[in-house]
Amino acid sequence: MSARSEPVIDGEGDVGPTTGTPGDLVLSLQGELDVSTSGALQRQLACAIASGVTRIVLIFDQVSFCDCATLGAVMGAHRALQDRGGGELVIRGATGMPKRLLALSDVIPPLQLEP
Amino acid sequence: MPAATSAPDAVRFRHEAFFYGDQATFLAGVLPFVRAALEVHEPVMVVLRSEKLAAVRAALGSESRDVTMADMAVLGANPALIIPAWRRFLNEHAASGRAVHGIGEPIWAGRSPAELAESQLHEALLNRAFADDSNFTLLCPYDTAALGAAVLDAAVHSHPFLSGGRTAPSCEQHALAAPADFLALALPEPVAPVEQRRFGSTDLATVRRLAQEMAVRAGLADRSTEVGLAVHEVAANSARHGGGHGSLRTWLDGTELVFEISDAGHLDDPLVGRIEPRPDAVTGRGLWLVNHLCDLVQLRNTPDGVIVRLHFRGTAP
Repeated sequence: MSARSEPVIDGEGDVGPTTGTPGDLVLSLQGELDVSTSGALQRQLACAIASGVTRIVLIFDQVSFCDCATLGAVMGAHRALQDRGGGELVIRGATGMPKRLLALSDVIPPLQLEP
Repeated sequence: MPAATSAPDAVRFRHEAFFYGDQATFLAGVLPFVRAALEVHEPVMVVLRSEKLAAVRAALGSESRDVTMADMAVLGANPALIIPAWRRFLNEHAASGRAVHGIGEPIWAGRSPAELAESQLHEALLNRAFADDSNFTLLCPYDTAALGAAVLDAAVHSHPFLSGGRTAPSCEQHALAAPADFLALALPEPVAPVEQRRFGSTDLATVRRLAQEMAVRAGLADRSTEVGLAVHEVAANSARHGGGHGSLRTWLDGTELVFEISDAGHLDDPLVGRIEPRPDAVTGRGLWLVNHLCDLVQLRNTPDGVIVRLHFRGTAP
Protein backbone atom coordinates (compact mmCIF):
# COMPACT_ATOMS: atom_id res chain seq x y z
CA MET A 1 0.00 0.00 0.00
CA SER A 2 1.48 3.32 -0.96
CA ALA A 3 0.66 6.80 0.24
CA ARG A 4 -1.95 8.38 -1.95
CA SER A 5 -2.31 11.61 -3.72
CA GLU A 6 -5.90 12.68 -4.21
CA PRO A 7 -7.49 15.58 -6.04
CA VAL A 8 -7.27 18.92 -4.32
CA ILE A 9 -10.40 19.88 -2.40
CA ASP A 10 -12.16 22.84 -3.96
CA GLY A 11 -13.31 25.85 -2.04
CA GLU A 12 -11.17 27.91 0.30
CA GLY A 13 -9.73 24.94 2.12
CA ASP A 14 -7.03 23.10 0.29
CA VAL A 15 -5.45 19.69 0.44
CA GLY A 16 -1.77 19.63 -0.44
CA PRO A 17 0.39 16.76 -1.63
CA THR A 18 0.44 13.67 0.51
CA THR A 19 3.44 11.84 1.85
CA GLY A 20 4.01 8.97 4.21
CA THR A 21 4.79 5.32 4.63
CA PRO A 22 2.75 2.46 3.20
CA GLY A 23 -0.60 2.13 4.93
CA ASP A 24 -0.49 5.76 5.95
CA LEU A 25 -2.38 8.67 4.50
CA VAL A 26 -0.76 11.98 5.28
CA LEU A 27 -2.90 14.91 4.22
CA SER A 28 -1.68 18.46 4.41
CA LEU A 29 -4.72 20.69 4.83
CA GLN A 30 -4.70 24.41 4.21
CA GLY A 31 -6.78 27.51 4.70
CA GLU A 32 -10.36 27.58 5.87
CA LEU A 33 -12.07 24.21 6.22
CA ASP A 34 -15.83 24.40 6.48
CA VAL A 35 -19.07 22.89 5.27
CA SER A 36 -18.08 23.77 1.68
CA THR A 37 -14.98 21.54 1.85
CA SER A 38 -16.09 18.88 4.32
CA GLY A 39 -17.83 16.73 1.70
CA ALA A 40 -14.68 16.45 -0.39
CA LEU A 41 -12.58 15.71 2.69
CA GLN A 42 -15.05 13.05 3.80
CA ARG A 43 -14.94 11.37 0.37
CA GLN A 44 -11.16 11.46 0.23
CA LEU A 45 -10.80 9.91 3.69
CA ALA A 46 -13.47 7.28 2.97
CA CYS A 47 -11.74 6.36 -0.27
CA ALA A 48 -8.39 5.95 1.46
CA ILE A 49 -9.87 3.82 4.24
CA ALA A 50 -11.70 1.65 1.73
CA SER A 51 -8.39 0.97 -0.01
CA GLY A 52 -6.74 -0.19 3.20
CA VAL A 53 -5.22 2.85 4.90
CA THR A 54 -5.09 2.28 8.66
CA ARG A 55 -3.31 5.41 9.83
CA ILE A 56 -4.37 8.91 8.81
CA VAL A 57 -2.34 11.98 9.67
CA LEU A 58 -4.01 15.33 9.03
CA ILE A 59 -1.52 18.17 9.03
CA PHE A 60 -3.24 21.22 10.40
CA ASP A 61 -0.46 23.79 10.74
CA GLN A 62 -1.73 25.75 7.72
CA VAL A 63 -5.39 25.52 8.73
CA SER A 64 -6.75 28.87 9.87
CA PHE A 65 -10.39 27.86 10.34
CA CYS A 66 -12.17 24.57 10.94
CA ASP A 67 -15.84 23.99 11.74
CA CYS A 68 -18.07 21.24 13.10
CA ALA A 69 -18.87 19.93 9.62
CA THR A 70 -15.14 19.34 9.08
CA LEU A 71 -14.85 17.74 12.48
CA GLY A 72 -17.82 15.53 11.54
CA ALA A 73 -15.97 14.37 8.41
CA VAL A 74 -12.88 13.56 10.50
CA MET A 75 -14.92 11.71 13.12
CA GLY A 76 -16.69 9.80 10.36
CA ALA A 77 -13.29 8.64 9.11
CA HIS A 78 -12.28 7.69 12.64
CA ARG A 79 -15.42 5.62 13.00
CA ALA A 80 -14.82 3.98 9.62
CA LEU A 81 -11.30 3.01 10.74
CA GLN A 82 -12.69 1.43 13.91
CA ASP A 83 -15.37 -0.38 11.91
CA ARG A 84 -12.63 -1.93 9.79
CA GLY A 85 -10.79 -3.25 12.81
CA GLY A 86 -9.01 -0.22 14.20
CA GLY A 87 -6.53 2.40 13.17
CA GLU A 88 -5.17 5.78 14.09
CA LEU A 89 -6.28 9.25 13.20
CA VAL A 90 -3.78 11.94 14.09
CA ILE A 91 -4.21 15.70 13.94
CA ARG A 92 -0.78 17.29 13.70
CA GLY A 93 0.23 20.89 14.22
CA ALA A 94 -3.16 22.41 15.02
CA THR A 95 -2.94 25.90 16.49
CA GLY A 96 -5.28 28.77 17.24
CA MET A 97 -8.96 28.37 16.49
CA PRO A 98 -8.81 24.81 15.09
CA LYS A 99 -6.95 23.66 18.22
CA ARG A 100 -9.56 25.33 20.41
CA LEU A 101 -12.36 23.64 18.46
CA LEU A 102 -10.73 20.24 19.02
CA ALA A 103 -10.40 20.90 22.75
CA LEU A 104 -13.96 22.16 23.19
CA SER A 105 -15.33 19.23 21.21
CA ASP A 106 -13.67 16.69 23.49
CA VAL A 107 -12.40 14.54 20.60
CA ILE A 108 -8.82 14.07 21.93
CA PRO A 109 -9.09 11.10 22.47
CA PRO A 110 -10.37 9.33 20.41
CA LEU A 111 -8.32 11.40 17.95
CA GLN A 112 -4.63 11.84 18.64
CA LEU A 113 -3.13 15.29 18.78
CA GLU A 114 0.52 15.81 17.88
CA PRO A 115 2.36 19.09 18.10
CA MET B 1 -47.82 19.68 49.12
CA PRO B 2 -46.14 18.00 46.21
CA ALA B 3 -47.99 17.43 43.01
CA ALA B 4 -49.24 13.94 42.33
CA THR B 5 -46.92 11.67 40.40
CA SER B 6 -47.58 8.29 38.91
CA ALA B 7 -44.56 6.52 40.40
CA PRO B 8 -43.01 6.33 43.87
CA ASP B 9 -40.75 9.27 44.69
CA ALA B 10 -37.61 7.24 45.05
CA VAL B 11 -37.56 5.90 41.52
CA ARG B 12 -38.39 9.11 39.65
CA PHE B 13 -36.44 12.30 39.04
CA ARG B 14 -37.54 14.58 41.86
CA HIS B 15 -37.35 18.25 40.78
CA GLU B 16 -38.40 20.43 43.65
CA ALA B 17 -38.69 24.20 44.01
CA PHE B 18 -37.86 25.34 47.53
CA PHE B 19 -39.12 28.83 48.39
CA TYR B 20 -37.27 30.74 51.09
CA GLY B 21 -37.57 34.28 52.39
CA ASP B 22 -34.31 34.83 54.25
CA GLN B 23 -30.91 33.30 54.92
CA ALA B 24 -32.08 31.36 57.99
CA THR B 25 -34.94 29.75 56.09
CA PHE B 26 -32.58 29.05 53.21
CA LEU B 27 -30.11 27.21 55.43
CA ALA B 28 -32.92 25.44 57.27
CA GLY B 29 -33.98 23.91 53.97
CA VAL B 30 -30.62 23.33 52.32
CA LEU B 31 -28.55 21.93 55.21
CA PRO B 32 -30.84 19.00 56.14
CA PHE B 33 -31.02 18.10 52.43
CA VAL B 34 -27.23 17.95 52.19
CA ARG B 35 -26.77 16.18 55.51
CA ALA B 36 -29.37 13.54 54.67
CA ALA B 37 -27.35 12.66 51.57
CA LEU B 38 -24.03 12.67 53.44
CA GLU B 39 -25.37 10.45 56.21
CA VAL B 40 -26.05 7.63 53.75
CA HIS B 41 -22.89 8.36 51.75
CA GLU B 42 -24.73 9.46 48.65
CA PRO B 43 -23.14 12.01 46.32
CA VAL B 44 -24.37 15.59 46.54
CA MET B 45 -23.48 18.64 44.45
CA VAL B 46 -24.39 22.19 45.43
CA VAL B 47 -24.42 24.90 42.76
CA LEU B 48 -25.07 28.37 44.18
CA ARG B 49 -23.58 31.82 43.84
CA SER B 50 -20.36 32.24 45.77
CA GLU B 51 -21.76 34.06 48.82
CA LYS B 52 -24.41 31.38 49.35
CA LEU B 53 -21.82 28.65 48.82
CA ALA B 54 -19.69 30.25 51.50
CA ALA B 55 -22.64 30.25 53.92
CA VAL B 56 -23.36 26.57 53.24
CA ARG B 57 -19.69 25.66 53.57
CA ALA B 58 -19.40 27.51 56.87
CA ALA B 59 -22.54 25.89 58.27
CA LEU B 60 -21.45 22.39 57.23
CA GLY B 61 -17.96 22.78 58.63
CA SER B 62 -15.81 19.71 58.01
CA GLU B 63 -18.77 17.88 56.46
CA SER B 64 -18.46 20.15 53.42
CA ARG B 65 -15.39 18.27 52.16
CA ASP B 66 -17.67 15.49 50.92
CA VAL B 67 -19.86 17.92 48.99
CA THR B 68 -19.11 18.91 45.39
CA MET B 69 -19.58 22.66 45.08
CA ALA B 70 -19.67 24.97 42.09
CA ASP B 71 -20.41 28.67 41.58
CA MET B 72 -23.69 29.04 39.69
CA ALA B 73 -22.65 32.49 38.44
CA VAL B 74 -19.80 30.76 36.57
CA LEU B 75 -21.13 27.28 35.78
CA GLY B 76 -24.61 28.58 34.97
CA ALA B 77 -23.79 32.00 33.52
CA ASN B 78 -25.14 30.46 30.34
CA PRO B 79 -28.07 28.43 31.72
CA ALA B 80 -27.77 25.98 28.80
CA LEU B 81 -24.60 24.63 30.44
CA ILE B 82 -26.33 23.61 33.69
CA ILE B 83 -28.02 20.44 32.39
CA PRO B 84 -24.68 19.17 30.99
CA ALA B 85 -23.10 19.77 34.43
CA TRP B 86 -25.77 17.73 36.22
CA ARG B 87 -25.45 15.04 33.56
CA ARG B 88 -21.69 14.83 34.16
CA PHE B 89 -22.24 14.57 37.91
CA LEU B 90 -24.78 11.78 37.41
CA ASN B 91 -22.46 9.97 35.03
CA GLU B 92 -19.57 10.19 37.50
CA HIS B 93 -21.66 8.36 40.07
CA ALA B 94 -23.76 6.14 37.81
CA ALA B 95 -21.57 3.09 38.39
CA SER B 96 -22.03 3.29 42.17
CA GLY B 97 -25.79 2.76 41.82
CA ARG B 98 -26.34 5.27 44.60
CA ALA B 99 -28.98 7.98 44.54
CA VAL B 100 -27.61 11.39 43.50
CA HIS B 101 -28.62 14.71 45.06
CA GLY B 102 -28.28 18.27 43.87
CA ILE B 103 -29.07 21.80 44.90
CA GLY B 104 -29.12 24.38 42.12
CA GLU B 105 -30.27 28.00 42.20
CA PRO B 106 -30.24 29.12 38.57
CA ILE B 107 -32.49 32.15 39.09
CA TRP B 108 -31.63 35.21 41.13
CA ALA B 109 -32.64 38.86 41.10
CA GLY B 110 -29.53 40.04 39.26
CA ARG B 111 -30.18 37.97 36.12
CA SER B 112 -30.76 40.06 32.96
CA PRO B 113 -34.18 39.64 31.28
CA ALA B 114 -32.61 37.43 28.58
CA GLU B 115 -30.76 35.31 31.17
CA LEU B 116 -33.96 34.99 33.21
CA ALA B 117 -35.91 33.79 30.19
CA GLU B 118 -33.27 31.16 29.44
CA SER B 119 -33.05 30.13 33.10
CA GLN B 120 -36.81 29.57 33.13
CA LEU B 121 -36.54 27.49 29.96
CA HIS B 122 -33.72 25.55 31.64
CA GLU B 123 -35.93 24.78 34.66
CA ALA B 124 -38.67 23.45 32.37
CA LEU B 125 -36.15 21.43 30.35
CA LEU B 126 -34.80 19.69 33.48
CA ASN B 127 -38.04 17.72 33.73
CA ARG B 128 -37.46 16.33 30.26
CA ALA B 129 -33.67 15.98 30.42
CA PHE B 130 -33.76 13.75 33.51
CA ALA B 131 -37.20 12.16 33.06
CA ASP B 132 -35.61 8.72 32.71
CA ASP B 133 -33.09 9.13 35.54
CA SER B 134 -34.28 7.39 38.64
CA ASN B 135 -32.85 8.35 42.01
CA PHE B 136 -31.88 11.91 41.12
CA THR B 137 -33.23 14.58 43.46
CA LEU B 138 -32.73 18.25 42.60
CA LEU B 139 -33.70 21.05 44.96
CA CYS B 140 -34.01 24.54 43.40
CA PRO B 141 -34.07 27.38 45.94
CA TYR B 142 -36.11 30.49 45.05
CA ASP B 143 -35.69 33.71 47.01
CA THR B 144 -39.23 34.99 47.65
CA ALA B 145 -37.92 38.27 49.09
CA ALA B 146 -35.92 39.17 45.99
CA LEU B 147 -37.84 37.67 43.07
CA GLY B 148 -41.03 39.02 41.55
CA ALA B 149 -44.41 37.29 41.71
CA ALA B 150 -44.29 36.28 38.03
CA VAL B 151 -40.92 34.55 38.50
CA LEU B 152 -42.14 32.68 41.57
CA ASP B 153 -45.31 31.67 39.77
CA ALA B 154 -43.26 30.38 36.83
CA ALA B 155 -41.22 28.29 39.29
CA VAL B 156 -44.43 26.66 40.52
CA HIS B 157 -45.15 25.63 36.94
CA SER B 158 -41.70 24.28 36.15
CA HIS B 159 -41.33 22.07 39.24
CA PRO B 160 -43.39 18.93 39.89
CA PHE B 161 -42.56 19.25 43.61
CA LEU B 162 -42.84 22.35 45.80
CA SER B 163 -41.70 23.11 49.33
CA GLY B 164 -41.20 26.11 51.58
CA GLY B 165 -44.79 27.16 52.09
CA ARG B 166 -45.78 27.76 48.49
CA THR B 167 -48.32 25.32 47.15
CA ALA B 168 -49.87 24.66 43.82
CA PRO B 169 -53.40 26.07 43.47
CA SER B 170 -54.59 22.50 43.03
CA CYS B 171 -53.30 19.36 41.44
CA GLU B 172 -55.45 19.98 38.39
CA GLN B 173 -54.11 23.49 37.94
CA HIS B 174 -50.51 22.52 38.57
CA ALA B 175 -49.87 21.88 34.92
CA LEU B 176 -46.17 21.87 34.14
CA ALA B 177 -44.96 24.34 31.56
CA ALA B 178 -43.99 22.66 28.32
CA PRO B 179 -40.52 23.51 26.98
CA ALA B 180 -42.13 24.04 23.57
CA ASP B 181 -44.07 26.97 25.07
CA PHE B 182 -40.81 28.67 26.10
CA LEU B 183 -39.35 28.10 22.64
CA ALA B 184 -42.38 29.90 21.20
CA LEU B 185 -42.02 32.99 23.44
CA ALA B 186 -41.32 36.15 21.46
CA LEU B 187 -37.93 37.81 21.90
CA PRO B 188 -37.90 41.57 22.50
CA GLU B 189 -37.00 43.63 19.46
CA PRO B 190 -33.64 45.38 19.73
CA VAL B 191 -33.77 49.08 20.52
CA ALA B 192 -30.27 49.78 19.17
CA PRO B 193 -29.60 50.26 15.44
CA VAL B 194 -29.47 46.93 13.67
CA GLU B 195 -27.23 45.81 10.82
CA GLN B 196 -28.96 43.26 8.67
CA ARG B 197 -27.97 41.08 5.74
CA ARG B 198 -29.18 37.97 3.97
CA PHE B 199 -26.85 35.04 3.40
CA GLY B 200 -26.86 31.84 1.39
CA SER B 201 -24.91 28.64 1.67
CA THR B 202 -22.00 30.09 -0.34
CA ASP B 203 -21.65 33.15 1.92
CA LEU B 204 -20.49 31.46 5.14
CA ALA B 205 -16.89 32.67 4.88
CA THR B 206 -18.20 36.21 4.46
CA VAL B 207 -20.58 35.80 7.39
CA ARG B 208 -17.88 34.66 9.81
CA ARG B 209 -15.50 37.39 8.65
CA LEU B 210 -18.21 39.97 9.19
CA ALA B 211 -18.92 38.55 12.66
CA GLN B 212 -15.22 38.76 13.55
CA GLU B 213 -15.06 42.37 12.39
CA MET B 214 -18.13 43.24 14.44
CA ALA B 215 -16.51 41.63 17.48
CA VAL B 216 -13.35 43.70 17.03
CA ARG B 217 -15.38 46.89 16.61
CA ALA B 218 -17.39 46.04 19.75
CA GLY B 219 -14.19 45.73 21.80
CA LEU B 220 -14.17 41.93 21.82
CA ALA B 221 -11.01 41.49 19.75
CA ASP B 222 -9.70 38.76 22.06
CA ARG B 223 -12.83 36.69 21.40
CA SER B 224 -13.26 37.47 17.71
CA THR B 225 -12.32 33.98 16.45
CA GLU B 226 -14.82 32.42 18.85
CA VAL B 227 -17.48 34.90 17.77
CA GLY B 228 -16.78 34.07 14.13
CA LEU B 229 -16.97 30.33 14.79
CA ALA B 230 -20.23 30.56 16.76
CA VAL B 231 -21.95 32.72 14.14
CA HIS B 232 -20.60 30.45 11.40
CA GLU B 233 -21.98 27.31 13.04
CA VAL B 234 -25.48 28.76 13.38
CA ALA B 235 -25.40 30.17 9.83
CA ALA B 236 -24.16 26.78 8.58
CA ASN B 237 -27.20 25.19 10.25
CA SER B 238 -29.39 27.63 8.32
CA ALA B 239 -27.64 26.68 5.10
CA ARG B 240 -28.05 23.00 5.87
CA HIS B 241 -31.37 22.65 7.69
CA GLY B 242 -33.06 26.04 7.45
CA GLY B 243 -33.90 26.27 3.78
CA GLY B 244 -30.43 27.01 2.41
CA HIS B 245 -30.31 30.65 3.42
CA GLY B 246 -31.00 32.92 6.31
CA SER B 247 -30.84 36.41 7.70
CA LEU B 248 -28.21 37.84 10.05
CA ARG B 249 -28.94 40.82 12.29
CA THR B 250 -26.37 42.37 14.60
CA TRP B 251 -26.61 45.03 17.26
CA LEU B 252 -25.11 46.30 20.47
CA ASP B 253 -27.16 46.02 23.64
CA GLY B 254 -25.16 48.18 26.00
CA THR B 255 -21.76 46.50 26.05
CA GLU B 256 -23.23 43.24 24.78
CA LEU B 257 -22.80 42.22 21.15
CA VAL B 258 -25.81 40.32 19.84
CA PHE B 259 -26.11 38.29 16.64
CA GLU B 260 -29.45 36.97 15.47
CA ILE B 261 -29.64 34.34 12.76
CA SER B 262 -33.08 33.47 11.42
CA ASP B 263 -34.10 30.93 8.83
CA ALA B 264 -37.05 28.85 7.66
CA GLY B 265 -36.23 25.80 9.79
CA HIS B 266 -37.85 24.40 12.92
CA LEU B 267 -36.43 23.22 16.25
CA ASP B 268 -37.88 19.81 17.04
CA ASP B 269 -35.83 18.97 20.13
CA PRO B 270 -35.84 21.62 22.87
CA LEU B 271 -32.78 19.95 24.42
CA VAL B 272 -30.66 20.59 21.33
CA GLY B 273 -27.22 21.90 22.30
CA ARG B 274 -27.50 20.59 25.88
CA ILE B 275 -26.69 16.92 25.30
CA GLU B 276 -22.95 16.31 25.11
CA PRO B 277 -22.09 14.65 21.81
CA ARG B 278 -20.31 11.31 22.08
CA PRO B 279 -16.60 11.79 21.35
CA ASP B 280 -16.98 9.84 18.10
CA ALA B 281 -20.19 11.59 16.99
CA VAL B 282 -20.22 12.63 13.36
CA THR B 283 -23.06 15.17 13.63
CA GLY B 284 -24.85 17.18 16.32
CA ARG B 285 -21.96 19.25 17.63
CA GLY B 286 -22.86 22.70 16.32
CA LEU B 287 -25.18 24.09 19.00
CA TRP B 288 -23.31 22.27 21.79
CA LEU B 289 -20.17 24.12 20.72
CA VAL B 290 -22.07 27.40 20.31
CA ASN B 291 -23.32 27.14 23.90
CA HIS B 292 -19.69 26.93 25.03
CA LEU B 293 -18.54 29.85 22.90
CA CYS B 294 -21.31 32.35 23.76
CA ASP B 295 -22.32 33.98 27.02
CA LEU B 296 -25.97 33.28 26.26
CA VAL B 297 -27.84 31.53 23.46
CA GLN B 298 -31.55 31.96 22.77
CA LEU B 299 -33.39 29.57 20.46
CA ARG B 300 -36.95 30.24 19.35
CA ASN B 301 -39.49 28.74 17.01
CA THR B 302 -41.60 31.39 15.29
CA PRO B 303 -44.44 31.05 12.77
CA ASP B 304 -41.84 31.82 10.09
CA GLY B 305 -39.02 29.55 11.22
CA VAL B 306 -36.18 29.54 13.73
CA ILE B 307 -34.45 32.44 15.46
CA VAL B 308 -31.10 31.98 17.20
CA ARG B 309 -29.67 34.85 19.25
CA LEU B 310 -26.06 34.76 20.35
CA HIS B 311 -24.95 37.12 23.13
CA PHE B 312 -21.33 38.08 23.76
CA ARG B 313 -20.75 40.21 26.81
CA GLY B 314 -18.25 43.01 26.51
CA THR B 315 -16.32 44.34 29.43
CA ALA B 316 -17.89 47.37 31.01
CA PRO B 317 -15.90 50.54 30.24
